[in-house]
Amino acid sequence: MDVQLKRGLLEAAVLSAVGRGETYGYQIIKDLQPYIVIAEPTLYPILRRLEADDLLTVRAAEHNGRLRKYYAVTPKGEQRLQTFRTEWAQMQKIGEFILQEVSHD
Amino acid sequence: MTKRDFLGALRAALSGLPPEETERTLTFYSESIDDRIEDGSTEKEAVAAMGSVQDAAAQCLSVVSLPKLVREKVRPRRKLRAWEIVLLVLGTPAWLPLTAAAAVMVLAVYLVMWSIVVTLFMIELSFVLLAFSGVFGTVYFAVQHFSPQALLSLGGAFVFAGVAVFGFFLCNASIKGCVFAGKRFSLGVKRLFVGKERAA
Repeated sequence: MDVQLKRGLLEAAVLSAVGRGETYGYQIIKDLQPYIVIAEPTLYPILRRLEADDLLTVRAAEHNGRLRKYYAVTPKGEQRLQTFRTEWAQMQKIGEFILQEVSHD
Repeated sequence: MTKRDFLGALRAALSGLPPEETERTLTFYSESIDDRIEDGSTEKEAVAAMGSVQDAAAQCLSVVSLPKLVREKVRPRRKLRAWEIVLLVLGTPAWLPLTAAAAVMVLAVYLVMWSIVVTLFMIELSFVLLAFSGVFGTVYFAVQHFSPQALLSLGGAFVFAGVAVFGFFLCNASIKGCVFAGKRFSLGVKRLFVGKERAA
């Protein structure tokens, strides 16, 4: 699959996971696992980029005697998710068309 | 590999990065390992799930911009004394052209790569134009009842069109290759600034 397309999708997926409620790295990986398996090295740059783009915030909180980073979505991030949802309908249609071609071969 | 070994190796691979970046990355991986252990994995499994140290380092590098790396490299570790500042200023004719030359060389690599792509497209365009001129030639000669020349033009048109079709795929591949090579080159240049163990 086109690398750029996959990366964009992954970023949206991670943002969506964070959008469901404040969460942390490993929880995001677990949430995504039934849909796509990613590991920490893939997640790290995605989280960094999302934070740099102001789509989520990070805070450190204590958990079991150690510090853990929690990610939460920003209003701008919510907007981005909304945009994705409206664009997804269009993307699905395109996908339908592409799949049609394959089955007729 | 133990958690300590993994983090130690990662720290070494990231040496040269601004300290905040290194700490950020290490904290992320340390937390991730702890989270997995808490969830039931053994330390070995948790560390293995992190992937290779090189991969983790490369992913971190991709987030840090090259200018930031350069700035960190030249950042003075302690306050400069007066004579050092004077020397730096006086030495400008020496280090400034060298630094500029290095920057220009990096840009030159990108320029060369993309000029290859542009050249390929120019060649492709010329074949397309040749194919068209072959078609016009065929019509021109056919109208004049110059059959051999018309056939030659037609044959030529087909040949050039064929090459142009092949060339089109080559041009597309060259763009992809250029983008890929550009990314690898950028990562390679970044690696020059990172990963060398500082003498204690």
